[in-house]
Amino acid sequence: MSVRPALPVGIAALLAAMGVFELKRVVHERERELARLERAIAEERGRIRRLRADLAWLARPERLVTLAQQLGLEPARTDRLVRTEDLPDATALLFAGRSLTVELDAGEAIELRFKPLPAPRLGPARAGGPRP
Amino acid sequence: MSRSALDPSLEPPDPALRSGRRRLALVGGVFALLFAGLGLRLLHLAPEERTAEAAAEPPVVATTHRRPDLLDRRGELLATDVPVPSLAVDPLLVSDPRRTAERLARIVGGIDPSALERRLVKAKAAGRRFEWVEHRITPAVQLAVLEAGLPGVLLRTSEHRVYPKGHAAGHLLGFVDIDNRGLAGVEHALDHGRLSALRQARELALSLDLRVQEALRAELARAFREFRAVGACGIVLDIRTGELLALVSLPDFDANAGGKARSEQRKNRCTGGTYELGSVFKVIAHAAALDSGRVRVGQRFEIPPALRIGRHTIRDVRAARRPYTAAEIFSHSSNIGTAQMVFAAGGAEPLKSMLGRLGLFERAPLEILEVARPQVQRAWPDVVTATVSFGHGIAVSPLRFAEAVASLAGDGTLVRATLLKRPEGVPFEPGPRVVSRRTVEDLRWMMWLTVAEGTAKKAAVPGYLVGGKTGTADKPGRGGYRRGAVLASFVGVFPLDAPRYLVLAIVDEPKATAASGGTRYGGQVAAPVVASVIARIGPLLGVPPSDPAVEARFRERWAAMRPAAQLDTGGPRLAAVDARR
Repeated sequence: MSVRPALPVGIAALLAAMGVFELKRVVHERERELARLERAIAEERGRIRRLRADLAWLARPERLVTLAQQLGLEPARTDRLVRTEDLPDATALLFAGRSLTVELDAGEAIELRFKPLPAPRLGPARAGGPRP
Repeated sequence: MSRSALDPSLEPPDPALRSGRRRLALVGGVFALLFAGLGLRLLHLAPEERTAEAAAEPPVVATTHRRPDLLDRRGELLATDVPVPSLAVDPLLVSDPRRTAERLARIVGGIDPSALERRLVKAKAAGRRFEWVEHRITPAVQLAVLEAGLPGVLLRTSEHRVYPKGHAAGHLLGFVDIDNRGLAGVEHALDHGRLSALRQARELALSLDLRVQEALRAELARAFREFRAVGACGIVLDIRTGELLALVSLPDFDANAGGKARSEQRKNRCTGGTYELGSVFKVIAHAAALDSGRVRVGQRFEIPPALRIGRHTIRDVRAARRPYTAAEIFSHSSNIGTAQMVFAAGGAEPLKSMLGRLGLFERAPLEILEVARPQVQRAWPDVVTATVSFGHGIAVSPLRFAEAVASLAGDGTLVRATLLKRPEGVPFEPGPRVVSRRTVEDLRWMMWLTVAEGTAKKAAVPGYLVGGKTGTADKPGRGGYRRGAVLASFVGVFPLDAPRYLVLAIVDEPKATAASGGTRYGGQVAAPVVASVIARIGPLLGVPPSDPAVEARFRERWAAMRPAAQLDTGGPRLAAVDARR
């Protein structure tokens, strides 16, 4: 066997081996990094779940009821609820604040205001159709 | 050096030199092989090192035992898994068992150091590599253990189920054992029951509304304490979809310590207990009679002071002094009248058919295991027909009964309760029709009459049209019914112009107090509970106030049917009392 062709082949093989080794080391490093990150993520997830549980615990009904009482809150009262049909006509309210200046024939200028119509109905049943 | 020395053949002329070179090449070749071998071995070792390291680092969270989070219908967290460390020891790595045991005992607290030391020594002798010290330690203890830096001490993280809302809905959620396995309620159903298909889900939205649950629990607990009851049950059911918004059984327990609860606390009275519910059951008898087509709401019945069937005598709590219409039989809760109505409608057949259509002979198909089967008489003589018509001689779970009333007062189609939130945006398929629309209208009106003019005036809520039926059942005991032990109940439906929710309250063995006017009637004990619950949950659930026109129509119908006799002194005492007021 001749030495001369064997030498560069040997060097190439050595370089390739070193390359592979380095590659493996880098991959290994990455894998460790990955494992570390995965652990960190799992830990963070666990922390998030703990915090969620904590939040839910802080918003438990018994505590909220006590806090609401301290803050002077009270349950909504059913007699204060109104159906949308029972609300006064919105268009009547639209002009409630407006005024219109009108000049009379005598040359006098007066201010006209719109008077909102009384709310159609609040309370007992409406019989028949809408009022005139 | 001569030119011939650079001959390409490079063959040195000297044979000694030639053999020297050959040896050199041989040695070089051997070394090259050796290095190559070493290199290969190095490459071979590299991944092995990695696997060994990976094996030494177990995943922080064991994913196998993770259970789905349980949420209420609005996304409030009801149950979740939280990673919690536990403390263990590898005895082989412990060089000084005494010192390790003493320090661990001091850090953790509540451990006997000498007992732990003995355990460590024994485990070491047996060659065991793992010994639990304390399950579920706090973060503070975990930190102290880490800081102590004891050799051989291990921290293992495992999932631990927590129920942040404590007492809320413990009976439905259930609880788990130390290994996170479900022992009751939804938790059990997830592992072994009807919800096991959802075990791998990340979260599970239940039909419950925590706000409603809390309102129901608070109001029911008030009655439970005030009347020194032995138990209570409350249900809020969405009539349209069958979703259970709230279910409370008292006494209850903290799901976080479910294993420590007494059996009395663990008992789910709403689903797992069967009761002879008494007069509330008349809703079903009346539905049967009216739906048969042989009885009309305005039909009058003579009410004798006592009704004799064979050896049995049926009486009313308050004797009627005039004929009652079917509607008044309902609103004044006459046992005799109801029995007569059912007989007029054909007796056992229409009643049994109605019970069958409503599923009252079967167990409710709720998702959890703790659901009791109704107890029904085998033989069905006239006396059973009569007693069943007013809720005796048949024992059903309150949940099953709530489903039945929801089916009747809703739109007459079968309602099946569920614990799971219905998916939004998917149109709901109503169940098969149970009674005609006309019967539904009649029943709603009679339920309104009961609240407006009958036994349940305390169930009225300003703004909403509420209808319902009271019940005061004698509790069965040895050889008959017990004196003085009753089940006070009220089943309410609101808003009656477009029924959406059913509220049921049952108080078991209330003691008469001044608040109930010295009585233990359902109308005095349970009806106010339902009224307060409706007043609290109506605005929360966004129920608009009832249409006054509907109430006016109801009143007109009553005015048209109202007997002139009622205005006389001969009318029922209840009406007389009110006139004076």
